[in-house]
Amino acid sequence: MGAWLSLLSFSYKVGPWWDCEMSFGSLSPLRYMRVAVIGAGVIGLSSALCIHDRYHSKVTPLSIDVYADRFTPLTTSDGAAGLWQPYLYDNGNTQETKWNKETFDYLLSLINSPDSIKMGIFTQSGYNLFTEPMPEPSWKDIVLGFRHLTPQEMKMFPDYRCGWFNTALMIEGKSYLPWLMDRLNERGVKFHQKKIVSFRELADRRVDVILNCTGVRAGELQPDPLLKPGRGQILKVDAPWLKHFIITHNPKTGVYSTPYIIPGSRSVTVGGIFQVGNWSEDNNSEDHRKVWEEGCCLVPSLKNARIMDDWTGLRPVRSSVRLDNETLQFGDKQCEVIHNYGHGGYGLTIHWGCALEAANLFGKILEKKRLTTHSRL
Amino acid sequence: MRCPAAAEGIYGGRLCRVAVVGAGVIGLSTAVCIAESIPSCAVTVLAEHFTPDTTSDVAAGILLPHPFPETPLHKQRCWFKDTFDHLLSICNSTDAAEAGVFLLSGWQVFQETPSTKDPYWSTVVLGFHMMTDAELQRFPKYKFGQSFTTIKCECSKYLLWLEKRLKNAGGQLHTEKITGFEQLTSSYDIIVNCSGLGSRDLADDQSLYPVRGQILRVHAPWLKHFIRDGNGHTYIFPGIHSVTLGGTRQKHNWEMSVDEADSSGIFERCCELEPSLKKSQVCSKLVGLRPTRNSLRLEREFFVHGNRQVPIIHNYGHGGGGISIHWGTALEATQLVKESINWRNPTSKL
Repeated sequence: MGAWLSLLSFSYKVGPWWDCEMSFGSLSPLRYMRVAVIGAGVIGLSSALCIHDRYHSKVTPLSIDVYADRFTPLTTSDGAAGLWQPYLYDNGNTQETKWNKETFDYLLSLINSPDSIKMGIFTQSGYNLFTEPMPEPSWKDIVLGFRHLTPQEMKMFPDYRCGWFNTALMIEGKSYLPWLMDRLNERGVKFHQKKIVSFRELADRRVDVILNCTGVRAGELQPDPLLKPGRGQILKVDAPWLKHFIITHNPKTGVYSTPYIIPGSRSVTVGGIFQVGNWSEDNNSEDHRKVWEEGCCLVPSLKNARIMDDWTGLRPVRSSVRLDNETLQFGDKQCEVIHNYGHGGYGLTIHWGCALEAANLFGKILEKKRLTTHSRL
Repeated sequence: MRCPAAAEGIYGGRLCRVAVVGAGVIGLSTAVCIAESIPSCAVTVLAEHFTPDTTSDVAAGILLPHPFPETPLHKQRCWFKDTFDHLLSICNSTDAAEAGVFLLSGWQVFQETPSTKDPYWSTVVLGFHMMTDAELQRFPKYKFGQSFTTIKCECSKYLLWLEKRLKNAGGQLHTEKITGFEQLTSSYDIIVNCSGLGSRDLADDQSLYPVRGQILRVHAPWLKHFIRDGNGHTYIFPGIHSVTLGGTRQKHNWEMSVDEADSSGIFERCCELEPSLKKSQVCSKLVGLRPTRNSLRLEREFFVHGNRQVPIIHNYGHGGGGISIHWGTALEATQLVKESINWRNPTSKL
């Protein structure tokens, strides 16, 4: 983490960020592509990696720059607990279920690889609890060992009537994001600590494709009434004897509005706040009290745990993920924008499937520009 | 036969003095059980070793029964269930962290399909079921597996918590090596022998023998599941602050020092099961001698010393399953103590 902050300040000292473009001015526009990624959370970084790996041999040079006001460990992805679990039902949005599955399968394929711990990937099992019977979730065949809880197990949760057990995956942003940045750095991707205030700003610098991965603040670049903050506040607690996630549900109050406990590799996340429309990034003492009391009710052994920290984050809530492309015209300059934002409380869960799709959209843009090596002049 | 309420008649108005020999999980749990359920008893635990120097401290403490070839299966199941239920209520209480007791899920995997797919304890642990093909894919050398949730009871915390419980119930603890029961007959009315492997000498029981177990403790906080090879030789048991990797099962081996060849063997086998362990750091290496016997000795004997006949309740020979059945055997030993309070020394005058 510290290494990345010093890298960013170094690139800042080099000079105005647009100076590095001068060396590319002499190349024919058909021989290279300049890609700008806005946003350095899990969505921006994974999309950049996917696109680089698929197209760097088809487009040379493929220059990718990442611009963001916040980098790890200060992004929304860093604060999230990191449990792979989508919302319960996709309500017909089977495309999102496909992206969720692609992400799960991808992470599972890496679980026994040498890099798994550096990436922050490991398995964890746990409980989903309900006060009334619920239909099975859209992801029941994606996770491992999905089953209903036995009456003996339900006795442990007297306030709940039924529930599920399964083995899922953890993908911890605090490890995964630095790992992604290392991979991107190895591939020559450059990072810039800068808040982009308009797409035009990048079009003026002759960026060919913009990847808009700006999460909850996407509306600042292009108004989107469907995008809202879903404020969450969590406690980080020292309780290493807890080895299962426990997520409670109340269909009346909505997702993540009732207590949940998710052990991580370094601490346990206790949460249960989901306030749509609240832009405050400050910790709130009333929310703290609610999360702590309800968490201790759910898991009595927490009462003797030490609270390490509070953290507030804004989930980029939207009725569905926006993943599409748009051609923008700024005077005589044209710019392709691939939007990839609005992943709500399941960004880590769905990121890889979305990155693959963003790469597909990028491929379609290339086809349009007919930029393959055998068509070079 | 006098009724229990009139115990003061047998002991002349004073409490019945009970000596519990041994301060491992068996000794302490039996002492606590007696002190908490028989108010007319004054319990003293006498042992050479207390936590963290007992055999129980080395054990991973996973509740998974160890087979006793000559003990009836229904008894084994009863002891296991009593222990599981007792610990489960601690797991879900505010005491869990101090007691070192918590739920742990995981997998037991077999290279060859076992003859018993549904062992007797499958209905005691939580959510027991056969692993699906997708779950088995992570273990390419294994053909069959069981998935369930059980309990881990970490003795480094649990024994301290039991000591506290014993003192709260009026019990005492003394560091003293008992080499013969005759040391105790003048000061105690009932002796409870929980001396584990020490009973070879103390109770002159040559059928008791050590099965040497070596373990490694590593730092791997991302591991949240246990994995055990059904053959019992390789296991990974995540604990509160470290993960226990094992093991060895060397019969009649009394060697207490760490064997480096065993260490490498354990580490390699565990890394094969769980490759992420290659990135873990070894914190410590320990050896424990499982006090093994074909059947558990849980019975009353009368020890004659001079003109006194003192009841001795033996509770030893738990092998590799001490923690798994400790509360069940403590309850049974306590019952034998209750019956012994009613027993009258034939030489006492009334």
